[in-house]
Amino acid sequence: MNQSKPSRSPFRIGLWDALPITASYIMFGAIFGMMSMQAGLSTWESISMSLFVYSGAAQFSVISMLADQASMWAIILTTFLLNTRHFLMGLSMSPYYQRYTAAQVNGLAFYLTDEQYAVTLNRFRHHPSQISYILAVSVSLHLGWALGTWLGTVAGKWIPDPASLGLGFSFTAMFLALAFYQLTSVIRIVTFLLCGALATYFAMLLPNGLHLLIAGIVAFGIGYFMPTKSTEEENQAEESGKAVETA
Amino acid sequence: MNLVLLYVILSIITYLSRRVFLRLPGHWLSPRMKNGLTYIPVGIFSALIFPSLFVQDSQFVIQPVLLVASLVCLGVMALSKNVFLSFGVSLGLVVLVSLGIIPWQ
Repeated sequence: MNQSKPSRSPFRIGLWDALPITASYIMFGAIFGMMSMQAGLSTWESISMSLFVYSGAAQFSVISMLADQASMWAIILTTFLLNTRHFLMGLSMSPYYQRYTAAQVNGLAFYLTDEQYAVTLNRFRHHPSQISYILAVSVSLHLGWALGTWLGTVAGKWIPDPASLGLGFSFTAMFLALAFYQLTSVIRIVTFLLCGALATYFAMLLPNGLHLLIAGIVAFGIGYFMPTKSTEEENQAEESGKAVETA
Repeated sequence: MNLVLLYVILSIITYLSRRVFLRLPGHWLSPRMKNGLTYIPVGIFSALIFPSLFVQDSQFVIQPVLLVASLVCLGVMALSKNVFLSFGVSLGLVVLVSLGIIPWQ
């Protein structure tokens, strides 16, 4: 991933980089489609949810709650809690979206899923943020999810259970491979392990999603209060710049 | 329950949670702030990975196949720096063990 030749367009590289996750999206979208039919939704109601809500974790919770005849407010609150992790994902993506217009950011925001975040963040380590790349990753994942949902509604009974094949590990494998690039120093590795332990503990206690928020906040705090050498140098450069300006 | 209304509200909540911090004003992004932001992916990735390995139905579990596959994934990444290869090899290992093609224990 991201080892592509410079002659290839960012859009094509984006499609290629997103390919493994798109395949997983189709598979898990199909499971969602199948479960939504079991929960009493029609084909179009299922596909509409995938097209417009477009949040896997939230959608699985919603159909489970609809099947249990939960109240609308309970479903809304659960969705909000599940989505709190996006606050931090958006925050950490902010530097890479500075160059885009408000209209472009408004459009791209819709596609900020966990997987889109992971794939695009990996790209931005060595390449400038390019809207065509983000769009390629985003649209292929979105269409993969919607296509999978449709397949699940029309052919759910023929789809093998991903858990029995061990395919539930596909997202973990992709996240692990992409996380590797984040572990560039001892303090980052320690932060990774500490946040992992915290997230594991809180995942057993709290509603889905909040453990991500906690781990993200702890990691942000470590980065904020333990500035790296380069940050200190930047600070000093900034201060000396100010000194020159005021001199 | 009015599904259309529910979908509209859920779409708005999901969208706003993604949009609200996606482009902060530039002057908020001090070097210290930026350094903090570069650590958020470390926390997010760890929170996506660790519970999927160690939590099932709100219980702590140890799943040796997944742990070995995770180490294989990181090992292949360290050697090859190739995300596709690491993804494929580690996922392939789990699938082959799940299908009984690679005996486990």
